[in-house]
Amino acid sequence: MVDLSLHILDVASNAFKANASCVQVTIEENENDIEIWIEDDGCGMSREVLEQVTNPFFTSRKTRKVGVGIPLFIQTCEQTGGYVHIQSTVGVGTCIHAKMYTHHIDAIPLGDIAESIFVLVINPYQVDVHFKMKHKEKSCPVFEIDTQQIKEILEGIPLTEPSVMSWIKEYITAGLAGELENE
Amino acid sequence: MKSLAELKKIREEAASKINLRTAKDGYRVVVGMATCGITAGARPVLAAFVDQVAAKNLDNVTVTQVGCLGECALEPVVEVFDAQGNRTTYAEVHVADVETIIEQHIIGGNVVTEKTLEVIKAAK
Repeated sequence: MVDLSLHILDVASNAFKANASCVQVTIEENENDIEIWIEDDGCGMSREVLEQVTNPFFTSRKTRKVGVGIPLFIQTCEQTGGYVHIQSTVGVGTCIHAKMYTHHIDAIPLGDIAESIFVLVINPYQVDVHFKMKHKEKSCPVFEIDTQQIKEILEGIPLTEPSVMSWIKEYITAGLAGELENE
Repeated sequence: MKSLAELKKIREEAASKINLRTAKDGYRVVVGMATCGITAGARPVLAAFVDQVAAKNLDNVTVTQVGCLGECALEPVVEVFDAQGNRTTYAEVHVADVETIIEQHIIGGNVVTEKTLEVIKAAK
């Protein structure tokens, strides 16, 4: 993966396969690191699966329940001295907390977060997405988008309606740039 | 400035149009978005399809995403289903190919043969 935004899209997409009703993504930019939380209320993983998650070569494809998305994310964070912590409970959900040190020579850029969040938001699985971004620059306001709130406004019009999708994309881009109207 | 108030207006406009939409005689575009697709550049391809469908007012086209389509080495993979359910699978689709697929296939009704999975696979 060339940037963090692709990892975030990839790892958060696991919530779709986990039959989650909601996935929450939080990014916090700090002076020397970026912290990421990805939480879902999906089926969760047993201790056995959780142990396999970090090892892409553990078992054969036929019985494998996990892919290479998580191992790649772990590699990205650990090569900067950071980490990925995964907590999961069967029937409750999964919580991933990661840290990547941004000044390390092997750190990768944050990338196009707006496009990743947009693609998550328009998922065809009816999974709600709640995203929150705290910028390093304290002058830039915290940006949040919650599809539950969007769906309330839409009153039955699908998120995937073309004019709605265009608006969502522009809204996320403007929000991340700190250019939203105060409401 | 973008605001949620704006979304209310878009909702009203969409609500008045949606009854006129003939989704059943339309096209469905499906972009593979598993780890393999994402790594190969599927995300901007999906975004480009969404942008162009909206920009060209293609009311009969739905753009959606799916997991791995099983051709990890030839990602990004895009499937186009026509109204009769006929499937065309495109491989190694990049942002620059999106407009060609929309213009030639979805608007013009002619498959972009050189970007199909079969042709790309045969050339390897």
